[in-house]
Amino acid sequence: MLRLNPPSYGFAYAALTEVYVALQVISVIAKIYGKKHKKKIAIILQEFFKDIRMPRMRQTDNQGNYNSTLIAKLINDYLFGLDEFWLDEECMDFGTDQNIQLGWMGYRISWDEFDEMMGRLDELTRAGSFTIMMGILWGNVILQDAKAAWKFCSETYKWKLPNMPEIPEDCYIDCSQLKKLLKKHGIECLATLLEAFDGSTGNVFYDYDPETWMPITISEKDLMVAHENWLKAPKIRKQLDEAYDILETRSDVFTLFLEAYMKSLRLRERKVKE
Amino acid sequence: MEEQTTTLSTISNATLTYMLNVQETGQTFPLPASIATDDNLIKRSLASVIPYIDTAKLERSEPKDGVITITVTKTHAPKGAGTPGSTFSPVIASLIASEGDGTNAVIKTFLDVEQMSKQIAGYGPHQILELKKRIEVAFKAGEKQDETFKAVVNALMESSPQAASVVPVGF
Repeated sequence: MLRLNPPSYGFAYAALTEVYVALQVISVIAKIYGKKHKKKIAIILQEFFKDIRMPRMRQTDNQGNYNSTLIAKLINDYLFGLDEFWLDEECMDFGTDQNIQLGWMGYRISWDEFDEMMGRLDELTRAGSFTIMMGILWGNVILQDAKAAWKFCSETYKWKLPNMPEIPEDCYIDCSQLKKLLKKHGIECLATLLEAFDGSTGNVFYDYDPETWMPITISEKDLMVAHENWLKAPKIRKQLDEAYDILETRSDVFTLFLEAYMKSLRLRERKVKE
Repeated sequence: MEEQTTTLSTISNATLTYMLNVQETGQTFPLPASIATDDNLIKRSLASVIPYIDTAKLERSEPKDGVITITVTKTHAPKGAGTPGSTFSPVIASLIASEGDGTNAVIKTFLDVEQMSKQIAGYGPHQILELKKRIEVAFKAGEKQDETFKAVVNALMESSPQAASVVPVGF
């Protein structure tokens, strides 16, 4: 009977695209898990294929497509974490938009967040004050304010660093050197925290910047890479947790960190074309 | 001998009066003998007055008091296909001979997937790969077909109307 009611090209294209996206997700899951979880996945797929003529997303009422939410659930349950608000909103429609919103970890510090922290210096934790230290060292605060903030934090959060160091202009951090120097004191996890603030851990879930990065589009290659990153995420998370613990508990951590940081600064070389 | 027959015929025609009766409207009017003797001439000369005359039935009565009445009866014409050899025939023949049923490849594949949707949930990896490839091929073919179709529609919409050189049969 369905053949007597052929859909429009636009509808068929969107519905078939959704099926294609589902097949991509299944094939990646199959590649990773083999026969494991096959039963569980089959239940979701049966639901998906029960009616692939589900009404498409309507722009006006922001209604999502039910079948697309099932695909998103498969990704979230078996491949990697997706943004929970996006999952709850259920407004995705992979028939027309194959973008997914990663469940990024949020360690990366945005300008707004930093400004907000600067506005409530007295309400921070000792670990939180480390963010202020980094912001000042990176030159994100005008000199007059920076000196006052440094002094305040050093006294309040016991940095034991009354004087703000002078940072030479146009230099960068040699991360491997910093890690090496921090490792001597058993605090190399601070280097990972630094990378997480900067968004340069090499792991998409820590480095992803929703303000400037394009969202990830579903493809087998990207799903696989994101899954591999997701598997590595707990190891980074463990280091970050350890870093926060050390910042809260170890009295000399700020002095040791700053010493290593200053020694790891490298002047940027400028090649002048003749 | 031939010349004599023509002369006799001309004389005979000259003595007859021809009346055209349009059955649908009940109108009757005289026709010159030079036109009335030939059905094709009648159709050509009256095409603008009686639009359906091309497919109408022309019936001649027996001469009565020197008057022959030609009755025009409207008939239903065949639609579309036209007569064999008309300008439309090759188009119709090509459409009949075409292999596809005209359904876009994307719609066709969607309908196929819909038919086997219950089985897909239990597909093995190799079957999934096969289906994925099939859908990819359908996307390529369907998009091409859709673009062509849109291009034809646009061309038709943008083209200016042209008067036909012939009146298509049935229209």
